[in-house]
Amino acid sequence: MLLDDLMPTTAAFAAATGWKIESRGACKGDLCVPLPDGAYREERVDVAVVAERLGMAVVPAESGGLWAVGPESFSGRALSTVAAPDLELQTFDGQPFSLSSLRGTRMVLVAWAPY
Amino acid sequence: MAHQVDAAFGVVNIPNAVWIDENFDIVRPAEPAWPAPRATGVRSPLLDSDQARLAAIAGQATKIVSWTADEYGDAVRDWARNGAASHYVLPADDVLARSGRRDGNGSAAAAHFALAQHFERDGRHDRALPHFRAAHRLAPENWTYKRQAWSLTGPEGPLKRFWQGPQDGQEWEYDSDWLADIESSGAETYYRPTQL
Repeated sequence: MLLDDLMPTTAAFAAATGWKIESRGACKGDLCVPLPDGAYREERVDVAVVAERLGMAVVPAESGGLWAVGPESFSGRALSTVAAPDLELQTFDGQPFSLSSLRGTRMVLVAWAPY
Repeated sequence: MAHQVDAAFGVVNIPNAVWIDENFDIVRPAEPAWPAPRATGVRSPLLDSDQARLAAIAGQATKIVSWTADEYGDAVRDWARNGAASHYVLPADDVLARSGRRDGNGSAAAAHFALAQHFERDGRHDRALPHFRAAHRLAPENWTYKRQAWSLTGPEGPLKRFWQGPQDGQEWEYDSDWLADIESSGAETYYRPTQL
């Protein structure tokens, strides 16, 4: 996930990471991780605070003004919840495709690459 | 475009698949997935290549273990028929436990990989390179990070995706390559051992 602002809106943070910032904490699916005071204010997320709590690495680009935030690692596993993330993908003909548009059906998501 | 399924699901090699049920819950995490049972009696023509590297790559490829290939298709069909009653559906705790390890280094590797892709798309390979190298160092078990970077260099042509390493007379920008890695780690570890 790339950010050009370490105080993004809660909506932008949720869209990029799948973690919604709520009064209960940072939530994904049924899982909520309590957050310390100051983690968010006025609909904006303090990425440094939330990232530390969730075990997300924050790596700055040398050029400045750009950061990459890694996925959560606090659980020690790649998945911290079974709730599937809502990927926004692109079809071969360039159309947007949301994984959640298939909600209600069983799906096998196959990862392959031609390299 | 950018890789997303590593950070989202823990996909570290291909082919991999994730099963997601009607409730949008993962019922099998990322694991090697196969379109058909293992082929028998098929000999790769690359084994006879007059280029030593390609022949060596083909030799290693024959040793890669396709753990569940013979039963994978049947498992998918069973789930399609039986849904939650399929015995291939895993309990939530098993889904999480099988989803692969991720620590702070793994998260940092994903962040570096995201920056590398960003700069590479922007035509700034010089800026992408240190981030690719950092991702490789922090998550050496992640073949996605390595194969993506390696495939951006090397010989042009239809065999480029297999080469993934140095060419005679040219400097190689990375600390390892496909053949060197698989020879040192063992082809049997190329896919994480799995069971259905």
